[in-house]
Amino acid sequence: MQTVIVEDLWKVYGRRKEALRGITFSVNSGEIFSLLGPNGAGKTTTVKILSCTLAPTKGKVNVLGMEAPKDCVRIREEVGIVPQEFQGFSDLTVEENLWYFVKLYGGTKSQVDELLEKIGVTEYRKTKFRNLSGGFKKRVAIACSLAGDPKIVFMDEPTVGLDPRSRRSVWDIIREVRSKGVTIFLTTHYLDEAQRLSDRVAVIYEGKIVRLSTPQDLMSEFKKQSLEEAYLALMEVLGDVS
Amino acid sequence: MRNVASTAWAIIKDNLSSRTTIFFVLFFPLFLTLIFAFGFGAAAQPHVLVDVNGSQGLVSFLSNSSLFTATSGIGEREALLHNYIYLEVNDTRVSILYPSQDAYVVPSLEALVQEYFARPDAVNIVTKPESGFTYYAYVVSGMIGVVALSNGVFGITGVAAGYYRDRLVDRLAASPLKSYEWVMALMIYEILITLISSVPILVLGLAFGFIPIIGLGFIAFLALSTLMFSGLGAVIFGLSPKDKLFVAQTAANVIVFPLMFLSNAFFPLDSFPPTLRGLVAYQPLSVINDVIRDVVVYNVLPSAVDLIYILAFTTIFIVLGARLMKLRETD
Repeated sequence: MQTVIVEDLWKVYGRRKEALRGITFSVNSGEIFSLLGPNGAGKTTTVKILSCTLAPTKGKVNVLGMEAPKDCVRIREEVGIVPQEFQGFSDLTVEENLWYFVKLYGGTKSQVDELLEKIGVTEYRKTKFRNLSGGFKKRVAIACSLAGDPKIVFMDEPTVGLDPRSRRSVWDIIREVRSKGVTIFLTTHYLDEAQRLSDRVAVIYEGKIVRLSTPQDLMSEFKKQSLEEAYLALMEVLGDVS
Repeated sequence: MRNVASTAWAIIKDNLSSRTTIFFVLFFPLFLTLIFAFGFGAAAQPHVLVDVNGSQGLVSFLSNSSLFTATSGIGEREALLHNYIYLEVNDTRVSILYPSQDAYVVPSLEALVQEYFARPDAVNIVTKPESGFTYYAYVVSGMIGVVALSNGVFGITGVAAGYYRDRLVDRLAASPLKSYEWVMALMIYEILITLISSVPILVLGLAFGFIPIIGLGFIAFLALSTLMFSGLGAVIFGLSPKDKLFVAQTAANVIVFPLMFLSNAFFPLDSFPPTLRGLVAYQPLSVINDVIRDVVVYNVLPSAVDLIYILAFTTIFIVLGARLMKLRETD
C-alpha cells in the first residue's frame, strides 16, 4: 500500500524559478523513504508540498489517500513534521511545548507523558526550550511531530548540525517510530544516515528525480561500497551532462 | 476556534517570560509618556486656547492680545473636552469656564474682556473652574490610545516576525492550526499587553493628580481599540514579503508615527495647521482618543458616530488581516 503518491509535480516560484520540474514517486506504507540531493535541489519544497504548507503549481499529490491541496485541512491532522530548523516557543518548557502541540492535534494530557518517555526527554520536561541543546531540541521536535499519532512523519534534515552521538540517538528514535508502523519521509545531506536508515532513496537534482531505488541498488549501479560514493559518482555524471 | 485559547496562552506565556518584553510592556510606554507627552507636549506651559461663543469681535480682540488664541464655534462641551477655556457672552453677562490648571490666566482674561467691553462695569463676569480636565488628564488619556496603537500594530508585526524568524511558524503551518486562529491568538495577546501597559501610565497620571474613571466600559473599549490596530498590524504583516520581514516593521513605523503625531493624543486639534485639522480629527487614533477621554476623563457616553466609526474600522481590519496573514500558502 502506498502512503504518498506524487505524479508530475511542479513548483514554480514567481514566474521563472522552477524548484520542482515534474517529479514522480511514491512512498510505501511503513518504509523509511529518503529524498537526497544537493542544496537547492527541491527537497524542502517537496516536503512543504507534501505536508500541505506550500501549494503545488501543477501535478498530483496524494497523501494517505487524500488529495493535496484540496484535502489539506484533513491531511495536516494526519501527518507529522519535523521541520529543518524546529523552534518551539522559546520560553515555554518542554512539557508546555509538547502539551500545546498535543492539544492542536486533539490529544490528552496523558499523551504528553507518553511522548516525553518515548523520546527520552522526561528529565528535561521542566526545562525551557531555549535552554536545550541542539540534540534535545531535535528530540522535542520529533516528539511534537508524533503528537497526533500520525501515520506518516516528514523529517526535513532531522540531524543537521548535531554531534555524532546526538545523530545516533535521533536515528534510534526514527527506527523506533518506524517499528510502530509509521512511514518516515526523510530528507538528508548525510549519505551514511540515508544508507543506514532508508529502505529506498530518491535522488533529486535541479528539481527532477534522477534515481529512485534501494541504497544497495544505487551502490551496485556505480560499483561503490557506500551510498555516499555512489551518490558522488551520480553527481559527477549529472555534472558532465549539465 | 478550539485552538485560539491554547495558542494565545502559549504566546502570552512565551512572551511574558522574557525580561525584554516586560521592559517594553511596562516601562517603554512610561518613558514614551514622559518624553513625548510631558516633554514635547509641553505640559509645563499654559494652554491659553479660548473658545468664545457670542462675540466674534471678542475673538479677534483676544487673539490680537498675543496672550490668548481665540476661536469660536467649538461649543462648550467640545471646548472643555479639548482643554480650552470656554467663554460665553450673553448681553452683559460673560461666563468663563476654565480647566483648573488655567486658573492663573483667568484674571488676565477677565481684564481683557473688561477692556474689550470698554467700561469695567459694562459686563458681569462669572468664572467657574472645571475640575478634572487638566492637561495631564488630556495627555495621559491620549497616551492610552497611543499604547493601543503601538501595541496593536508593532505588537502584531513584531511578534509575528519573531516567530517567523524562529521558524516556529513553519511548524505551526504544518499543524491543524488555522490561519485565523493564529491571528486571533496574537490579537488576544496584544489586548492583554495593552491592558498591562496602561496601568503604569495611569499610575503616572495619578501622580500628577489625574484620577481616571476606570470601569468595564474603559476596559472593553481599550480591548476594541487594540483589536482595531492589531487588525491593521495583521494587514501590514500580511502584505509584507515573508523573506523580507524588515519590510513589515518599516511599514509599521511609517504608519504608526504619523498616526501618533498627527493626532489629538498630545495636542488639541486647533494647534494643528487648518489644512491638517480634518485629517487629524478623523484619523482612527484621534477618534479613539476622543472616546477614551469621554469614558476615562469626562465620564460621558461616547458619541454613536465615533463608536460606529471604530466598530466599522475594527471589522474591516480584522477581516482583512485574518485573510491576508496566512500561516501557509495553501490557505
